[in-house]
Amino acid sequence: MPEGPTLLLRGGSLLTAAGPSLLDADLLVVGGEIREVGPGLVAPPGAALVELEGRWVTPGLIDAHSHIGVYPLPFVPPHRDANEATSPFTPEVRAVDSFWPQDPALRYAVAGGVTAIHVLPGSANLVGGQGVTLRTVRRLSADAMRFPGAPVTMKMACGENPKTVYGKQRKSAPSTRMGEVALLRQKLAEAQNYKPGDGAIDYAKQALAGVVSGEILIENHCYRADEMLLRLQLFREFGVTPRAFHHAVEAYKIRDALAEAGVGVATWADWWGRKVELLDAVPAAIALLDEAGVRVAVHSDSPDDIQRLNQEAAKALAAGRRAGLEVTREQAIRWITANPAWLVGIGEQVGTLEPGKRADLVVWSGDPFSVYTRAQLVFVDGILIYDRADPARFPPSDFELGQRVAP
Amino acid sequence: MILPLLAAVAIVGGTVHTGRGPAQEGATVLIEANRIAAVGRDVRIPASAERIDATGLVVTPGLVEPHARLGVAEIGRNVPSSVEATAGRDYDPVRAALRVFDSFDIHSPTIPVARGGGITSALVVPQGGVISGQSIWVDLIEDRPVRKRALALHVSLLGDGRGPGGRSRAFLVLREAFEDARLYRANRGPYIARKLRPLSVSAKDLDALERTLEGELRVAIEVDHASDIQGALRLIREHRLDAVLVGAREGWLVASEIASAEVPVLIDPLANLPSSYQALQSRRDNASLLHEAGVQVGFTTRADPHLAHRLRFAAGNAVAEGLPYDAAIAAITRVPAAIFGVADAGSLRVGSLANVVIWNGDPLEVTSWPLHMWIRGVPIPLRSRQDLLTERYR
Repeated sequence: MPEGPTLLLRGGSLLTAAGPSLLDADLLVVGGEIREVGPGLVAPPGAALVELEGRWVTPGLIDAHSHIGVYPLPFVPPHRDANEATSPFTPEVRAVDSFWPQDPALRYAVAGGVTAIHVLPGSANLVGGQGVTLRTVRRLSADAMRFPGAPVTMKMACGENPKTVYGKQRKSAPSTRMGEVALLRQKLAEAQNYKPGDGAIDYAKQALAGVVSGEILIENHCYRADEMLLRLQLFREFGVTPRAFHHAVEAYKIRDALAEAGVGVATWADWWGRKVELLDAVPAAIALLDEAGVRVAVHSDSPDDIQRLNQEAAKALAAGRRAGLEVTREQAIRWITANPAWLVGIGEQVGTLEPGKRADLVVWSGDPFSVYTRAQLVFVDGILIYDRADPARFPPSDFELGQRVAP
Repeated sequence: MILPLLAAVAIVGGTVHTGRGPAQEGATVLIEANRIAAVGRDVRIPASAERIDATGLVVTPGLVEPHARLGVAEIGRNVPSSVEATAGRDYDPVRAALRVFDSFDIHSPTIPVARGGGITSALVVPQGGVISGQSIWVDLIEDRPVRKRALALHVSLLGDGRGPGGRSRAFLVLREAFEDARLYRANRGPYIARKLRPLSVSAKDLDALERTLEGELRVAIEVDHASDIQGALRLIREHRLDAVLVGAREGWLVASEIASAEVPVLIDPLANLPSSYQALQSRRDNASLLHEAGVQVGFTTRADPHLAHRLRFAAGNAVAEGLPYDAAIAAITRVPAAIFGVADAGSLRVGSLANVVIWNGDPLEVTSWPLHMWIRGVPIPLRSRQDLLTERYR
């Protein structure tokens, strides 16, 4: 486990993401990991003390779908490094190799209480490349930001994007949804039989072989219910199950099938309509999925909304209640903590306030589900990385230096 | 014209935001026909009125989205035929005579979703080019939604994305267009007799531009960059335009200049990221800094037809970043209506059109939602296609 600080957060309300809220409770961090949670804890000698004065504490927020660093700010062509759109199959490329650690967006995400981001290649390709889970810390390379022990993931995509990027525009396959399925089936079959021989390694086939063996988690961008069912069927032919469907705005229509297959969902609270395949999104979807037992996460897919994942979860909570579902705050906090942690394979280490977990924490100025609340303190492994009262603690990116807005 | 027969409605006991000043607790809002007949604590309620108990609830004017694409833009990605009132393929930088009125569709599925965010009225704007065309004022109701057919002329200084110098070229296009319009105004006879030098824009466009010079048509200038805001203020001063700035992401940097020019701004308080080279100095407290400098501030979600319902959340976040609460309520109700001279919208006061929303909590809060809505006194069901889908798959 990490070596880190020892501190006691005293006298607050804990939204643990692992059971009922604990009011007037303490949280003890020893060596950067959560040691104990509950009332009346005693600070060991030398422990730093954080008086919560009733404020809420949650696990650090986790965004299961981010393009920070691969689509950095400002949005200009030289920054666009998320889509290796030269072939619909690029399983060998890795988001970690495109990631620009000076993306100004990082600082804003941290200010929103985010401590881990799953950074994915874009959705131009059927198989777009390998995702990476990073901590939201300022380092000189993505490699130095890696979430320890996070598994490799594979970004795949269905639907409008691949067939539009290729197809008519490039006069190359796929140009239809049936073309997408046929091509993917062919590639998976080839990868299944891949054996590293005497010659040079085929990194693309090797990576796809990792997908077929289940070693690499499948994170599949897919909007429509029928396409998700087709994908489940296709993957089943190869004996694998995707870890999660991303965007997945029609997942609510097939929530029982997803729950039964054990497939997670990462989606938005209220995005809809800007694409044809986004027309059937409903704001009650997240609550419906949760009720059916699907591990569902609110993702951002955007440097804007990542700043307010807590508000996005609150909107989904409200939409569920408006639709007549019984949804609790204890469920809703899991949509931005424990569930995305599971979706990207770090759920053993973070996502809840439980003994043994890494001390990735947020102290909020008020109710985490209020529009008026802001993250005040953000800890990673018990180390304070952000303090709203002292914004310079999280260094602005090199890009921002000299600008009037830099802290 | 035959007005539908509407029973009087008395909304009693709620926390009432009129759009101006602090809330009134336990006040009554009386709707008669299509107007507000009374607001306050000592309202005499006619025996025939339907009483709605709003105890514990919040009553506001219908929200106003003053830079909307509702009813003209459906699916931006890959379906250009569903997007109207824009530059189109035959790109033309000056289309002052283009009217949103010609393509607005009240039956758009984006509209019930916007109403679900408490929005009852909108300024629907054209897009593209440097001078994009003329906007309309609509109430989001099927019966004759359009109240004003030519509310403002819309200008964009965002650059046209067609290579370098987009904004300086835009300024050049504007100088030419407005100067030609002045020449046209003073020499209409010679123009018709073809004795005037060739002008840079068409006769239809000149007519529209002339109306801005006469002060009959407001000019809404979309601009983010601080130095471009200064350029826009020069243009406004030179031609004595009745103008409003839209966007103004770097407005806080030149807030005192905007304030002394007495030009109102419509901003998106959620637009705090350095997402373009024209907006590197964006910041989260732009609204509050502009307000403190004395600028009249309204809010907009800036032309996203699918996210207009987020307008109230934008206002809530502005409060979290320092804007006084009452100013945030005004910025999504009274202020945008007043900026465009629609005095009987955006307020709960006697004589205003009865655009009213009852909320189950703080309207700026992400966990609240609207329970009832009236537009021009007509009760509007708050049910969208999203609700129908939810019911089908529930």
